[in-house]
Amino acid sequence: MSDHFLLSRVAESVYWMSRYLERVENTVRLMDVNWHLMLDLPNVQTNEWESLLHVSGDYDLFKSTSEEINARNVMRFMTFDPLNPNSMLSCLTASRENARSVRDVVTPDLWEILNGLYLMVKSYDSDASGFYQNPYQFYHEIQSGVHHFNGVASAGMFRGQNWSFYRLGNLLERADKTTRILDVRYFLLLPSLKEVGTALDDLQWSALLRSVSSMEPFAKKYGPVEARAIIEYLILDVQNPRSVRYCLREGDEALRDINNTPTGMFSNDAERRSGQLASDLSYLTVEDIVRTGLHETLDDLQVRMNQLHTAISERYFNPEPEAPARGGT
Amino acid sequence: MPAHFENALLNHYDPEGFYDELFTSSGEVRSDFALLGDWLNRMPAEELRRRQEAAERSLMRMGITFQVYGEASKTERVLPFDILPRAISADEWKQVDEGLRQRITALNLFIQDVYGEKKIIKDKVVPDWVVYSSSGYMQPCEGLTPPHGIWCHISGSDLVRDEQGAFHVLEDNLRCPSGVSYVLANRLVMKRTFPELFTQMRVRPVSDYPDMLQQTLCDVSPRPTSSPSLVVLTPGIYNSAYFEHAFLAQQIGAELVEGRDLVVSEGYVCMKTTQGLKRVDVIYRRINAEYLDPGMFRPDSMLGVRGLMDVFRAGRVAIANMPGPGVADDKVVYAFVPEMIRYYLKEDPILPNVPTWLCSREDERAHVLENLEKLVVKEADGAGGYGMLIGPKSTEKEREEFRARIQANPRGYIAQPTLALSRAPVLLEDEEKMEGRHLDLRPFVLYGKDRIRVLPGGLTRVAMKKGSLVVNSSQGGGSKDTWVLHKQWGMS
Repeated sequence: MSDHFLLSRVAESVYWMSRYLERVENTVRLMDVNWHLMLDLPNVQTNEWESLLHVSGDYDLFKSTSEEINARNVMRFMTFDPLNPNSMLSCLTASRENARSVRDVVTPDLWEILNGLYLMVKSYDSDASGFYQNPYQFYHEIQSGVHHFNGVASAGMFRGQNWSFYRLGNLLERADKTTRILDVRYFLLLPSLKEVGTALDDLQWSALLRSVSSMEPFAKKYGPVEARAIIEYLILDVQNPRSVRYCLREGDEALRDINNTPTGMFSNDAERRSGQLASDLSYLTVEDIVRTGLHETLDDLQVRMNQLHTAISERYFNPEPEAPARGGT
Repeated sequence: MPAHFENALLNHYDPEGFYDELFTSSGEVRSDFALLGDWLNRMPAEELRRRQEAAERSLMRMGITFQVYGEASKTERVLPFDILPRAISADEWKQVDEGLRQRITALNLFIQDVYGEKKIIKDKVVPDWVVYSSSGYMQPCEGLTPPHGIWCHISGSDLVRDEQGAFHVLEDNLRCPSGVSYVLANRLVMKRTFPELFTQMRVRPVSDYPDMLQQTLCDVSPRPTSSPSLVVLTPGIYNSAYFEHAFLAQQIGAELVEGRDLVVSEGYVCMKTTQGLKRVDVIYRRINAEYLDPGMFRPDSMLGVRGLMDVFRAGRVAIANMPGPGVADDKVVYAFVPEMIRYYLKEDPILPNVPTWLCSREDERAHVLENLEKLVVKEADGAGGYGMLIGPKSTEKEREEFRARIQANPRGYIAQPTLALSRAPVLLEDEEKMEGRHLDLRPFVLYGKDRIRVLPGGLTRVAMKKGSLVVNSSQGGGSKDTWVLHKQWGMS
């Protein structure tokens, strides 16, 4: 029977479990890439760490701690600070709490992976382990743990509505992060756009690519790093599983699976918004984006993704009781 | 102590005059468990320690945790687990199995009688004041008859063994007994920890409990369908037994719901889902009965479903366990269970009670007050090892406090002799040594449409503190896997 419906509360928790876990992965990836980049750029440290705070929208919160912006403080704040709701630890805790509240639909093997990861992080002593000297091993372990979870989910999770909400959480978070990273980096790199071709510029653009996805397929398809190619790769590329278009198209599919609504039709506001967004991205070109402005385009996408989230939430997580109960099903 | 074991662990073990589950008073391994003794004798202490740690890690990772009420921090804890199994022979188990089935049959008849014809009261076998002063008596249940007359679908009476090794019933848990998930998890971990031992011994499986539970619940569905819609109703993630609720729901294919997920609509209990409202057929409740329906019982309940009992009365939903059986697990009512068995079944009790003095009776109260330092005094509706006075371990001040409390409210207290509870060896944490610890047993009984089944095994709860008699998890108790052996075991 669970292939026909989910408790609304369960749907919401599965969505957030997945969404927070994806946030964990994104945060860790961003920190790791930045740390690697800093080893190449010993002189521009502050700016780079500051921009990370803008990506997650935590700049003001960090400033309120009146700590100095440097590698150690930002890494600690973004990785372990329980008072920062976007820190890796906070997101992992939230993901696990959501999983814990729906343990009847999260299979034991998935639960054990998530719980094991959480226990590992919880008992991790960053000072004793030399984390601030070399965080690579730790970040790598977190990423592996998240990939392990997603791999087992993809291989074994029951394909009922839980699968749809799991994918939705994952894909919407990923699309959102890609737009944020691109937006923030774009602003930061703006001055250097005029000096295309300098070593510094390439390093930073490559770092941007790495923090969102892998560098290698890009190099194969587009050749040398170049701003327009990056915009296309990260927003519009149908083959890049982390591009905004790819995520929203897959997300649209996951959403339609819930009601078996065919593409091109909609049975509720969430489906309408999602279909419209996916369709708009399908027909968008890099030229359109440049004409409108990258920041304006990204801003518009973020607003519409937020509206989509709200529509999903209103339709599935907090619905008004509507269908009357019947004697039989 | 005979020093004839090769393994120093066994040579240093001393039953200290208590009935020991594994060893005789002279320090030999009991013949029923010879294979276990041989195996233990060959097992180096450091290897045991290594496996103990692996088992603990496994339980932590599985997240089989509980929370202790009253602790400020929301820390999750793993129930301490000792890897040395507690074995019970086929013959010993036969008595437990028969005794429990007899007892639950009589208790179920009693509950039906109390809320119905009241014959046992009219015949003065159980005095009316005992029934109506029980805190578990629920007036709104008067006149109810549940499907197939079953009130307690799931029960778990706590058993202890005395210094001769005889089993006694210490108390009956007829409301929402918990702990069965530990039984299943402990077994899983033990199979991974000692696979070689399972291949040698004939241990009766417990893994079919979820199937039996599912069948028991489906049996009472008001809708004639092969797959009724089952839910497990939990108070939520912060309940100490939340893990168990989730685990059982998953195992029996039920939705795990909270009160806020349910609503009564057009005469049915429904859950709120992504596809609108869906009808519920059977509720396995893991919230206390008084919270079930704020319209019927406690009006301030946030955990229940308003109108639930009306739907029940209309025969459109089943509830397991029914509200109401709490009347029979009050500790004063407990004292009358042997009489109930004789009254309803015309049989002698197979499992005896622990002798019990009722403070509400003047002569018995006088005896209790004179012997406070020898007795265990319990609150009639207490649970979890709280509200107890263990006479021999008490201070003068504590005894005076209890004396005053008993005199102020005699109905609220009973007393029992301080039992020399049986012990079994546990592996110590810091030293390479085994020591005896007191334990009890909570078996689980399922009352189905056609038969009553006792899960062969149950939760062995161990007082991990040296000398302690309190086995409750909230007070530092741990657990062991319970191995009920097949008949042929040990005959070779």
